[in-house]
Amino acid sequence: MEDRKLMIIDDDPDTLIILKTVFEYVGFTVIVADDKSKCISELEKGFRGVIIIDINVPYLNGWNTLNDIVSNGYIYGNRLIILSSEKNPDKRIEEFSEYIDDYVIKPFDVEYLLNSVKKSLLSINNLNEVTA
Amino acid sequence: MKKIMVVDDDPENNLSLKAGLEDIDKNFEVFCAESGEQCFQLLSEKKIPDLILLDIMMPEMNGWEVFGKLKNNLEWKKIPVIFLTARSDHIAKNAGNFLGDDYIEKPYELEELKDKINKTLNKLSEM
Repeated sequence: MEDRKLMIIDDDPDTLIILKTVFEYVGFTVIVADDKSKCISELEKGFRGVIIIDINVPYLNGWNTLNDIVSNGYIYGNRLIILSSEKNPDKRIEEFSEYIDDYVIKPFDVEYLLNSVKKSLLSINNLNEVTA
Repeated sequence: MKKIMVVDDDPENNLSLKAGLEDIDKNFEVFCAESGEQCFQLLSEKKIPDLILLDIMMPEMNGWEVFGKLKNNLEWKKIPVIFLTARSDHIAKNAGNFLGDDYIEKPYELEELKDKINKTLNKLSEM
């Protein structure tokens, strides 16, 4: 069975529990992180999978977290899906575009996000097969 | 008789819902849990309902957590769940419809609730 790992980074407990429930229901192993240190700690422990990150959260500072993930090399083996309440992406997103598979605007449909995560996962698994 | 468990932290609401449902459909037998913990206590005591009406906004263990724990258990995962909640925001409605067998917003009409319960129970008995 393919590895279905997902990390959700958001400082809103309601979004975290809803997404955790939805993705676990369909068979994912889900890690939730409500701050940067938890996220980095999971990546240090070797998390590999799809990362959903909300970038418009003042407390979490999504851009700062995103920068740390990429600049510390934790991005390799992972793919990113951005959650945002902004219809027009901030131009800072261009720096990370090669790692981002989707930009999802809140409020979103869970089925859309689910399909998006599945596509990202497929690209990780295909890459693993090529490099194995 | 069809056994229905109501999981809601409002005891007054539970009492009136139990009375209303048992009055509107003589085939319903309703029992209530005032928390997620109490819901699992009843299930552990083999008080297994045919359907669960689940509130979302509850202290300690909310409706999403209750749902996740139910679906993680081999014995309880088949119990149909209808979310019964005051939440009308997009993400709650969308996720609730995706996860549950139905999603009903408070305030609701008792007749509508009865119809949706029976529809869910009938759908399952046909499977």
